[in-house]
Amino acid sequence: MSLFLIYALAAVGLFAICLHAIITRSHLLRKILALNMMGSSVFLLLIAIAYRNSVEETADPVPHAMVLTGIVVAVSATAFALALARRYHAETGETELSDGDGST
Amino acid sequence: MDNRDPLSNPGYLVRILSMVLSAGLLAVLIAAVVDLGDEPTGLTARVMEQIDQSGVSHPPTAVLLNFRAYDTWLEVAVLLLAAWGALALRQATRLPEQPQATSAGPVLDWLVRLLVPLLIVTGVYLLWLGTNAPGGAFQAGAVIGAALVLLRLSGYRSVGLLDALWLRGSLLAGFAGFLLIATVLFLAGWTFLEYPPDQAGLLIVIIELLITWTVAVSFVALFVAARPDPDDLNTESEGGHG
Amino acid sequence: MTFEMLFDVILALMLVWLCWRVLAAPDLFKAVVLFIVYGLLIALAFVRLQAPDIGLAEASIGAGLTGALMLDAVGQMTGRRMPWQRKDEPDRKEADHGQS
Repeated sequence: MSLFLIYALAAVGLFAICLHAIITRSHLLRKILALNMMGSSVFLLLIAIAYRNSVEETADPVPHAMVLTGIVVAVSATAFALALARRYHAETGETELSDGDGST
Repeated sequence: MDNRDPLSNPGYLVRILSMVLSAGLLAVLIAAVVDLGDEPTGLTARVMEQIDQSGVSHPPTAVLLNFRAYDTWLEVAVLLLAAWGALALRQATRLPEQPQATSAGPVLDWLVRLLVPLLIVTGVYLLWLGTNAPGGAFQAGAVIGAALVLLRLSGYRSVGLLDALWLRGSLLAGFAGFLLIATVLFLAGWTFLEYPPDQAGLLIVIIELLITWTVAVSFVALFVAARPDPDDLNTESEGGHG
Repeated sequence: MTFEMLFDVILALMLVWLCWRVLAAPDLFKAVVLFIVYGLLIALAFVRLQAPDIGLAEASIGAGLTGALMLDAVGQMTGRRMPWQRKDEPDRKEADHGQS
């Protein structure tokens, strides 16, 4: 079992757990946490692939650049989602989205 | 509402369906990952071939700011939009003032005074290092932004209080600087976002400087804009719960 | 199996376990603390996979900044008073209590 395979398998496991959590957890913060961790699982997979692609001890720089971009985009998206959730909480006092019929 | 999230789940049916979906996806993904094998297939060799023309010697920096400059430019745009969105949600054109902490305490005060200059020096060092070793604009911006957030949290309330024009200008600097350089080069006959190999190193350092500043200010804005003002809180507790 | 590989397997298993704990821990505050630990461990995994600079970015941005934002949001949305908040700030725990 190679280093690539260990971390790649962990990454897909994390992705599946987070997907399940996004569907079943109703608290907004929990959903945002799951979404963020889903992103980092993809980063882990990309970094593992970059490691697999390394030539003469140099890892593939293209996935590295993509992940570096992705980390900043992930924190921007998370911060904006949090700002939305906090505004929603301040307006309604709720921590979960309603089903659309006025009840939660 | 106490601190406990009851994990209220939407019924057994949805839970089981979600579990089946996730497990199915997991199986497909495991098969795909195992199928990838251990043979290198990436672009490492091609990047190493071209790196002499990029103006920097650290491969990820070369990819970020030269070969895949589009990605980085649009990433700065995403950061700009997120910071603007967060500011718009609190209907503010400037960062709110931090309420004065009661007593920071001598130990915290001393530590902050020691740490913040160290963090800023580390940030600048990372930026400078980025051209030929692990490091770069985003890490540098994050470290400097963290230093500013730390200062604000420990009671230095005026830190990061830029007026509206400076705040917008700082948020825009990375995006606009990138665009300006690309446009000037485009008019001079180069492909959009392509640098002349002779000046590439200098241009990349200028863009990285701008990006560092934008990232640092954006992170402070994202952090500070999310926190409600004490004044807002009072009106919310009266009007928001009706 | 070498010692290094054992380390990697344990790290990978810990990541999966932490991810599950973050999403299942009943206390949101605890969940966010575990989330920060998860971010740091993922950074460690990046270092193991020859990407120390990405690890640095993940530790400072993914764990540090996102964690701070999350803690702040948990503080507001659950009414828990964070250490850096003023003592005389109105305690919103009671105001929110009627809502739940």
